Order: sequence, then structure tokens, then C-alpha cells
Amino acid sequence: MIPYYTRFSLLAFILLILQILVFDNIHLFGFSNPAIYIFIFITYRLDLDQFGFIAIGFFTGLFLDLVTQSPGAHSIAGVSIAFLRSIISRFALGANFNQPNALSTGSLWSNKMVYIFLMILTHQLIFSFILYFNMAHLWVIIKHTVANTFFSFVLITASLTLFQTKK
Amino acid sequence: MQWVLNAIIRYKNFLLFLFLFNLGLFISGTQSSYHNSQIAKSSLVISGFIHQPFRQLNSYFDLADENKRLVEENNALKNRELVRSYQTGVLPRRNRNSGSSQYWSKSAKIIRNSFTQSRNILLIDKGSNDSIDREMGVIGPKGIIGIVNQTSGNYASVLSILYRDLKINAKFIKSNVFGSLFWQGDNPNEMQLSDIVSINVVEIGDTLVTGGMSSYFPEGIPIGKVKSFELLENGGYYDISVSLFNNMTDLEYVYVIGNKDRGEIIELLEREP
Repeated sequence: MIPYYTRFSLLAFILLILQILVFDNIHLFGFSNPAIYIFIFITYRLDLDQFGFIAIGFFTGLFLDLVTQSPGAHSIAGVSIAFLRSIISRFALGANFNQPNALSTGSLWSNKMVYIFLMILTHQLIFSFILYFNMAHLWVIIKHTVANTFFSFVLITASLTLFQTKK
Repeated sequence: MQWVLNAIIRYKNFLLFLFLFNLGLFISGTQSSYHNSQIAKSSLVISGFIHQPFRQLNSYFDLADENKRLVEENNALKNRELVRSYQTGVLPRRNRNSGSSQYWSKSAKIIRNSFTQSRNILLIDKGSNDSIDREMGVIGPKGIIGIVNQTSGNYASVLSILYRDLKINAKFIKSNVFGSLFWQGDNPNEMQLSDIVSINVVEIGDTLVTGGMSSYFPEGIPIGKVKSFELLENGGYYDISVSLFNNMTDLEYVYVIGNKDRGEIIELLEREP
């Protein structure tokens, strides 16, 4: 059995490369970029220490910031979502909030969907807000957040069901 | 003392979060300062290294289209020098300046283009090894693209004109009235022109070109056409929407414009009176 962190790093690396090379070049309706890499934050095991997870969130974001030349938005969104995940999982997954298998077999389908949706929505809201950094563009921020959240949600739930068929 | 340590251990997650969050804010906050340009420089190397091979692969798929476009462009440039052609083509005779050979140009290929953010940055595959330097103008087949921001050996990043804090000096061909052009961060084909006083006559379809008030661009590079305009209620100024000639979303080849006299101009500006 390959250690968890090795598998996790490999998955994260593949997702980041996919995000940079493929999904950043998709412009649905001319403005919407699906953010597939939130998959990393969603599937990181819920029972592991949050301290390390916050650092992972930050450095994942920092890597994307450096590569896409964006001014810190990915880092801030990444570190925030890592910190807020315990609250979101407690709200959405209920008693299963720190079970390692909460995303595969442990919880109700509807709970999982709420969890994934809230994770993406929170991430995209923070991300768009930092990117524009101005309340005068509230309408654009909302437009981007809604469109990105929708497409990322479709992609992430689809890949989650694809990769978790083995029981 | 014990309780301080206990508190730190108990809230270590939150403290780490706060620390990294502020570090992120610091990165965004220093956007235009020296530190940021240092970060940008090193990130440019990584960024160029990663995007270059993929862009090369990608450009194979567009070869047919690109060829057609190149033929078109070559045709237009055939008998004329690049910058000169813009001026003789667009400006009326009285505006042509005879010494336009102070500008030189160098072609480059875009390896990364963004237009969905509020501050868009392009990467091109020429850098300081090709004598490209900061603050040089960049133009495309149909008009202006942006200004070089940062260079490394083989790459340079270009502030696109779709960059929220950037203002460009522009003027009407027919009346020579100057204004400043900026982007509102929404539609990649549309920009706003401000500072045009209401005593001037503006019509839909009027052509805008670069004014010669900055050392980035030669005078007379096309920008776009007036799409709509309205008179602001509180003052004697127009609010004008301009549709750009260049389609900023499917660029592939651009030209970097250098000004031979730029060093001289800067020296003159910085000299104490």
C-alpha cells in the first residue's frame, strides 16, 4: 500500500497541472474558469490534523499564484478554505465530520453534495473578492462566483463519482 | 506564563491561518512595489518554463488559421515599415511626424494570454536577451496590446490594456482631442474614455489612436472606435465607450516597440529644474 501522503501529493500535483494547462484555458461564456483543484481541499482526509492542512492550502495556492501571475488570490482562498473546512464539514456532514471515509461510504448523498457545494462556493467567493478587491465590482464578483461555482461543482462531483466506484 | 503557551497551542490552527492569510495579503499588497517585482521576476521564469511547451503544442492545432492570418498581415505590411505604416495609414497629413524612424520593432509570440481577470497579464517569448526592456509598448496586428512590465532572459510579462489601473493617452483622429483610456474590468472588447470636455463634438464610429504624450507608443497607433457615449450629469465631460480593434482574446503574435530616444526623454524628465 502506498502511503497516504504520497498518493495525496501525486493527486495534488496532477490536479494543479490540469488546472494550469487545461482548465485555466477554458473560458465558458467568455469569463468563467472552472476550478478543478478545489478537489484537493475537498478530498484531503477529514480525520488528519488541520494544522498541516492549512499549510498545504497556502502552498497549493501560492504555487498557482506564482504560475498564473495572480496577486495572492489563490493563496488567500486556499488558506481560508483550509481553515474554514472544519466548520463547513461539521455543518454539512453532521456526525461524520471527522470520519476518514465520510466522502466515500460514510454519509448521505445529499450531505456530501452540500459539503462539496459549500466548499466550492466559499472558495470561489473569497477568490473572486481578493482578485477584484473592490466593492464597486460586486456585481462582477457575484457573476464570476456563481458561474465558476456551478461549473466546478459539476466537474468535481462527476470526477468524485468516477473515482470512487470501488467499495 | 503557562497559560500563554497553552493558549498558543490551543489556537495554533487559527494563528497559523492568520499568519498565512496575512502573508497572502502582503503578497497582493506589494503589487506594484520593489518586492513584488522581485517575486514577479522569479515567478516569470517558472511560469514561462511551464507554459512554453504547452503553448507550442497548442499552436499546432491553430496552424491553418494562423497561416491565413499571417499571410493577411504580411500583405498589409509588405511595402511599408511597421510603425510608419500605422501613421501614414491613419493620421491626416498635417499630423505625420517626419522622424518616426526613432522607433524599432521586434516580433514576439504570446505564450500565455489572460482576459478574464481584473488585471490581465500576457507572457511573451522574448526577453532581455532580445533587448526588450521594461515599459516598452506592445502592439498587435490591429492596434495596441499593452506595456512590458517585467523581463527575464527569454521571457517578458506584458500588462495588457485590460488592466484596471492602467491609463493610456488616446486622442481622436479627426479633432486631436486628448483623453485617457481605461478598462472597467468587465468586457474584454470594450474600454472607457474619460476627460473629454463637452464642448467637443463626438460621434459614434469616431476612430481613436494613441496620442504622442507618452514615450511608450508612437503617435497614431489605432485603438478602437466610439461605440456609445453620454454626457455626464454633473459636469462638462463625456463618458465614452470604445470598442477595440484588436480582439484581445485570440492573440498569437505581437510586436514590441522600442523607442531609441527613450533614454534621452527619461533623463530629461528626471533632471532637476
